[in-house]
Amino acid sequence: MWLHRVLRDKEVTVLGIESTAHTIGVGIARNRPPYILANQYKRYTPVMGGIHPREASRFIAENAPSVISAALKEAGITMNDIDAIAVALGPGLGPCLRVGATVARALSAYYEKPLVPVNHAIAHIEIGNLLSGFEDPLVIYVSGGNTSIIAYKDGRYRVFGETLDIALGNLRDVFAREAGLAPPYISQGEHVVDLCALRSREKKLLELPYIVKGQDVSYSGLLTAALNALKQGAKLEDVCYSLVEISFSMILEVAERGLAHTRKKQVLLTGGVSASSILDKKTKLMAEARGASFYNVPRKYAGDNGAMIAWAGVLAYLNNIVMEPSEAVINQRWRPDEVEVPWRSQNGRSN
Amino acid sequence: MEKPKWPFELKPLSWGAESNLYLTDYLGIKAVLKHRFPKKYMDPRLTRRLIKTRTIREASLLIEARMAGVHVPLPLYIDSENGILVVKYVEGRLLRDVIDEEPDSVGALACTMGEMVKRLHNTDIIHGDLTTSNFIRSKHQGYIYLLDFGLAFKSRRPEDKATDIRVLERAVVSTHPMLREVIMEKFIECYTQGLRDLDSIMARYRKLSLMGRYVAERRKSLGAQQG
Repeated sequence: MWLHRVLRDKEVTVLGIESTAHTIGVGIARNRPPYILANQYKRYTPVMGGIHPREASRFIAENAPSVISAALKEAGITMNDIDAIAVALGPGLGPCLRVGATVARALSAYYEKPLVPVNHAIAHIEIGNLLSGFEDPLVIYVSGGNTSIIAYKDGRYRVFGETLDIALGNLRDVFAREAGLAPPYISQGEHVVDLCALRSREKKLLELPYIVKGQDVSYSGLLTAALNALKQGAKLEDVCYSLVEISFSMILEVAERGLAHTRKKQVLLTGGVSASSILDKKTKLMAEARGASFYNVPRKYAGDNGAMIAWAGVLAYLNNIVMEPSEAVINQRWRPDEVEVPWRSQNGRSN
Repeated sequence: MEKPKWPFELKPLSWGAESNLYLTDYLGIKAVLKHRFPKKYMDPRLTRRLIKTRTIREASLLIEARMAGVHVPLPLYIDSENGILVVKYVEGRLLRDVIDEEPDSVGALACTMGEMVKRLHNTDIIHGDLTTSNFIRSKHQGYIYLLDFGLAFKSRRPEDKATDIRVLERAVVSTHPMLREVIMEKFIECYTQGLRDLDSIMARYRKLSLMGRYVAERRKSLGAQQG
């Protein structure tokens, strides 16, 4: 597998910083087993309403120092043992990204460590590859801010399909909030919309919009229709059931098309929404029907975390992808297909 | 894989994500049977509902396209409950192959494609999957046919029409990289003649292409920094 190439390289240890949304995560990774040396994070949970970028960024700024110390402690090393600082420069919320970038630039300049720019989506994929041992999967990346079907081709991760408006996690969170189910959004490890759907006894399937356009999905019409159905007196559990069934079927249908088109034989499910057991079950069924193997990234590495930034940082750093701190500017809409991933190609540099 | 309920002989043609294609004989006419099958990962009622509406939509869009003057395989039989759509078989060669074998006729072929898509768009039909493999030159009359309306839908939005063209351009770039400019230039020339909402569609189309270029330029400068 391609991983053996990083083992041939000189040993490097990278500290990675994640702050694209509600999480300040700091991870430490090395190109030697066990690969992930530390994964510390603190998550901002609003008391009411959704994520306010300003509040989240303040939370990140206040907690970054302690999370960095905790990560170094967990790995049992000091800053001297770190070879490079990796940071997620996007995509994400501007104010939150800026805090992480500032911290990373400061660490890089002060300790004189190279700075490695990391694309948040690619970090999700790479840690999934590391944990699953998959060579070349079709990736279903579903979170609060992202919903994409991604596959590697010719030096890049190509976006095969994506949401045309809101992300799947956003659909679920906003519905939960408007319907009075949240916060908290998660109960006993499951999203409240899933729990609500499971409570539906009749499992009535309402006529809500199912919008797949070619390889893309659209969720905003579904959200509006679901909230309207509630207002018009439909049973909450039935609306939840219909919303969950329709939204998951939409993304899986697009994923299935991607699988047929790209002829990949592995399916990797990642992002915050991958924690849903309903989605896990459905994705497995889809992959099985196509004769593909399936891996769902464990929760602590599927949600936003620093370990994935550190690991993607290791891969990038080994390929000499570094930046001057003064050039490390955030990019709120940084698409994964804009990034070259030389470590995936057969003739990728391995020093 | 679930077999369709069909009394005549079936020869498998291809397995897709959404449907399987079979070659068959319908009342003495050589035909293609498209079978949409239920998805195990969906609620059975949902997958049935989708199969039904999509089968009906595909058949009616094929008829509408033919009425707009575009050659398409004509529907012969439809059983929406069981996801069956039977269309007349078009014998011929895919434009994908014709283009590579007859470089001299590339311009004429691209122009015909442009005229066909213009007719569709003037009727607000978006094909959704334009590639040179979905155009076929019939063996008998030499007409160009457009196949597979499985992803087609109705929309009058210039954005959807521009996206349709971008989908084709993306396919051309990957299938005929050397002929991209010849094909797209001639295609656009014939597509835009008599096109309704010409300005807004083309403005949107240029914006879509520009976005790609912007990305590439920025990447170049990023690459230089990273050495």
